[in-house]
Amino acid sequence: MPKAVLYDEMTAGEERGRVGGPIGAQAYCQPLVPGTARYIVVRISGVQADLSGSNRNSVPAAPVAWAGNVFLRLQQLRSYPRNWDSYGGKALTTAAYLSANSLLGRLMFESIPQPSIVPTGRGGVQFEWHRKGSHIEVYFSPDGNSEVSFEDDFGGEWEGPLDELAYRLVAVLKNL
Amino acid sequence: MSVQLPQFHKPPVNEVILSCQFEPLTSMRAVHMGTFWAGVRDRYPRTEEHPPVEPIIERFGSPKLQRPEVRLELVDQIKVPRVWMLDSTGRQLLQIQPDRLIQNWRQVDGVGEYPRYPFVKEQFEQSYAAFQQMVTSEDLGEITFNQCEVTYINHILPCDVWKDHSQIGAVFAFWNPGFSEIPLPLQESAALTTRTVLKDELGQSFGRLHLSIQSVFRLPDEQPMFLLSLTVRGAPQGEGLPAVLSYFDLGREWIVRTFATITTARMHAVWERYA
Repeated sequence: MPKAVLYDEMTAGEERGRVGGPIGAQAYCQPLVPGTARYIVVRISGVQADLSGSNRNSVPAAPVAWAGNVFLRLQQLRSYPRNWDSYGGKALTTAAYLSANSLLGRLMFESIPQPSIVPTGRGGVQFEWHRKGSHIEVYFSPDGNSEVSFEDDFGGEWEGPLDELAYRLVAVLKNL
Repeated sequence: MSVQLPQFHKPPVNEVILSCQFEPLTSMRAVHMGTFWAGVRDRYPRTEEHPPVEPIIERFGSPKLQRPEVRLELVDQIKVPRVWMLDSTGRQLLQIQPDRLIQNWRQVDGVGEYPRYPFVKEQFEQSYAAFQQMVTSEDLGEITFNQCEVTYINHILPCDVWKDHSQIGAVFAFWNPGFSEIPLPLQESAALTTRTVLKDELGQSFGRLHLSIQSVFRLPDEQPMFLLSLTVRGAPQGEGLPAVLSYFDLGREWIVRTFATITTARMHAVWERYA
């Protein structure tokens, strides 16, 4: 369990692994479970206008509390051994991991309930929400492509590439 | 693309990087770096430790809204480092981490004649063969490639064609110094980045070309310089080392052609273009 989530912004254009470290980190939340030391840093990077221009309000204030748990779960899936499910299951691929992390980064600043994280066994993963008669699944394939599907108890349904439907997905999740 | 590539007797190449990224070898530990180094120590007697490079995957699709990228990472996680292994001159550099193998040739302090792409590629093949052997003998799993990357970094120094950064139009063909409705002052500095999706004959995206131009001053002599970096990155088209090497060839071809296209004929003369 994460002890705390640290939240900082990197200089625009700075690339992890090649140049310097975090700038101006600040504690975000109190330990969820005291005693187990796990810190997660949230880094935000982007074009200069995004970070310091007049549209700065596009950078949100604080991530939701469950973000750390989902992140740790993805980390865990990525380090699974081969045949982890005794059916030849594979660890989460790098492409699926990065895609899932990308969506997590987008959702974690919204008022949205925690998804269930379900590995597919073939190197992909699914985010799932089943609440209030709505069933939403986002599937990340091993090659990093992502599809979203929605169904509700009133017969409503739609599906398609996450790239095209991310805005609609967020709107639905906010109402769960 | 056609067979004949532009050729230069004196290209301004400062560094060439051939990198392959693969699914993480989750059983790999720091001690395996030592096992590997023992096998290549005669070629690379010096080592350094660096933080690992984060994984990156080129994805294609509909252009997305530019929004800040959010990344999470564990702070207190003990990570296997990225180990640099250098030859005695420092020009040959091999970098290893659990999900990457990177072969660099670079100038050191501006010294070192570019040994040409086939030599760097051969160095990569030798390094990979040694790495593969260690992975097999230590039972670390299979190497499954997911991205390849070719990077050329060029240092373009002042010459008869240009003296200061305001003459950027004399170096780069697409920079039109006459484009102005009003007489703008000359540029003191410049920075440009572009990203281009590369497609094959069938229209399928196979990689992305990243171009970066920066006006900088070289240290320690503070000469003005244009730093031109060209990277092609994408997934290998097939499995195993042959697919990686093919991707390197393709990436290098795009980089060399792009370099020749965006730079001026006057600079080509300085670099002694002969093909």
